[in-house]
Amino acid sequence: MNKLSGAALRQSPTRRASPLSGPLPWLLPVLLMIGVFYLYPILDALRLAFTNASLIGREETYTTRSILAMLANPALGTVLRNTAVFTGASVIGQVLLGLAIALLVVRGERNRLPGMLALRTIVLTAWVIPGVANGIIWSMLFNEAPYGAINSALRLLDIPPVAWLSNPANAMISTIIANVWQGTAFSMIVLYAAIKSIDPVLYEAAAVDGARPWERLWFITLPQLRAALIVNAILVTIQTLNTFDAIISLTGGGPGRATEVLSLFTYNTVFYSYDLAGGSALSMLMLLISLGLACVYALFLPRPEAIR
Amino acid sequence: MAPVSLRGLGKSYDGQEAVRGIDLEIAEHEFVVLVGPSGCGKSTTLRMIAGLETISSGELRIGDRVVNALPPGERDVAMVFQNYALYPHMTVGQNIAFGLRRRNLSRQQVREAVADAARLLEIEPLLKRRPGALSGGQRQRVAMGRAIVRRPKVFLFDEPLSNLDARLRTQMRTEIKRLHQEVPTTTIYVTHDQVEAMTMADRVVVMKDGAIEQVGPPLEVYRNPRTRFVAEFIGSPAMNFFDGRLVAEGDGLAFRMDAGPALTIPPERRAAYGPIVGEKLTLGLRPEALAIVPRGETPHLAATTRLVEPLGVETLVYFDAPGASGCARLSPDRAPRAGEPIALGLDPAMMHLIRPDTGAVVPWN
Repeated sequence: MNKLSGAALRQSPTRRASPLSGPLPWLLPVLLMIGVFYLYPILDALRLAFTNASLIGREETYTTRSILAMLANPALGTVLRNTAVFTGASVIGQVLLGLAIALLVVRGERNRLPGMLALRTIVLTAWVIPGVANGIIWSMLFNEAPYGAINSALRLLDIPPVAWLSNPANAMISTIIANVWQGTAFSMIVLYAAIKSIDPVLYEAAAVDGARPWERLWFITLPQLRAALIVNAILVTIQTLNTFDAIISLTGGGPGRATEVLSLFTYNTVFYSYDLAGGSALSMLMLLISLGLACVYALFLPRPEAIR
Repeated sequence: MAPVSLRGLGKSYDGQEAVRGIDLEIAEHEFVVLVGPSGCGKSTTLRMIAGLETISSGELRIGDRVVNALPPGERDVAMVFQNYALYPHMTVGQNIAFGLRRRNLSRQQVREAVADAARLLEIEPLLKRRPGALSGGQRQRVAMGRAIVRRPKVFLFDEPLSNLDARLRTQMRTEIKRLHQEVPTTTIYVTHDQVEAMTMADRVVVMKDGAIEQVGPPLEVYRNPRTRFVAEFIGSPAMNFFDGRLVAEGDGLAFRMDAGPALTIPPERRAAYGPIVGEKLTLGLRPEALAIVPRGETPHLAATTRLVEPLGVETLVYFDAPGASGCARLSPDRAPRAGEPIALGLDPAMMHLIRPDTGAVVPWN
């Protein structure tokens, strides 16, 4: 029935005659916006990667030397490893913590606990704070001077002070904590909405079937959240890969290169070393990593039939 | 399989009583239908039995155990929900197996039980599919399979047929009855459809405003409704009502309609009706108690045909009479045309006399 009417519509001569026929006119505004603000910069960065361009405007010539030089840069390995650790830990932390808070809030609301709206709002405020401010807030908390908030709290408990930012091994952990603190709210909101949209009758059916609470989480909630979890993971991954504002104001990438991630390395390459071509090559690398990860995630998206 | 006993069961939300004082003894293997208009508390009662609502007052026993405080999974009941509540991310087979897997059966046992249930419900070819790919009727069968496979003590059905089209509804109705005959299990079935209640139940429980109005076998409830509400709710089209007064007539009694004929009370009812002579009452007559009679015959109700619905085996004639309107169930070859004046004879043997103030039917037998 549907196929039939679809075919009939496609063959309908009156629709062909309209000047607005076909999908192109409808897609044009979006294509224009994306073309001007996304596609052109990407293509230009790709072009720049194949030049020897620098910020101090000298004559550009086309060459692959910049890319090769960047790939041979001994710092790149460290930076990529930092990026992997920072992104991996941040994504896992944000998704898990966001899920936990979302489950708590939904549960609290179901039991009509007061203060759930306040809790949601408080978690969200972290997300509204700009990355640079976040970095400054946490640099005050992690401050290793006697007035540093966390260390003075630890002192009250008779725990010796921790070198949050000056010890290279701790600096990455501190950076991840700061980033997770800020990013969790996003996961929480996405997953909260997804949990709210699960048909409550499924839990009743499971309860009658004798499923214990953890079985309801494992067999009902998580499978029902699968699409939301994956989309959320894609978005958080891309966000985290691009994070450099919080890091630059918290550690500036240091000590040494201990917390220098790819986005910060790119920034430093262009704006401190004036190497526009090398920075462009790095930004291409970032694009490839983002796309690659998004594709991997997309493989795990449930089939549409299973969502219904 | 077990008897279920509800003693003074009640439910209130924030001081508001939704269900009160439900007393009901359901025998082993019995098929009981809770029926009533929406908001009458039938679903709440069912959900209390399932354990999905807490019980505010009273006692609930399944078998010889008081289960008031037990969570749903420990009551050994199975429930079929209105929208089936199949787990969308699991296959049909996994859906049916879910409850068994929670009960620590071996894989082999689960597989056999699922296969048995699938055979019984004729859904074997669907086991690998997901609920999203099934039609409404197939989902209904899967939901029933999920309930049956556990061999629970009690089956609970919450308006399971209301999402199906008319033809499928009739088919599933007989299917559920057949299943109950093959796997006799105590069953509590909630519906707002009095046809489902009449056709499926061993006993019908008519509910109104959170309380039981009448309990009995379907035909008993149909023939001897105890209140005007039950008389009106059970039976389609609904019973006709005429206001009037019970008067003495010669050595007998008669019901004199305010606008219409007087109806002689059958002799066997005289004793019962004696004490209420002179009172204002309402006469209730089912559509089949009305028939077209020759105009000269007395007594008859002069009426005008408003609407004629030929149903094949019978024809429903909706009429307007002075002070009342109603419906008569006539044989197709006797049916008048719309707009035609008719004379309706009333069968006093099928009459009900109702007190207008309390809505109670005056008992006579």
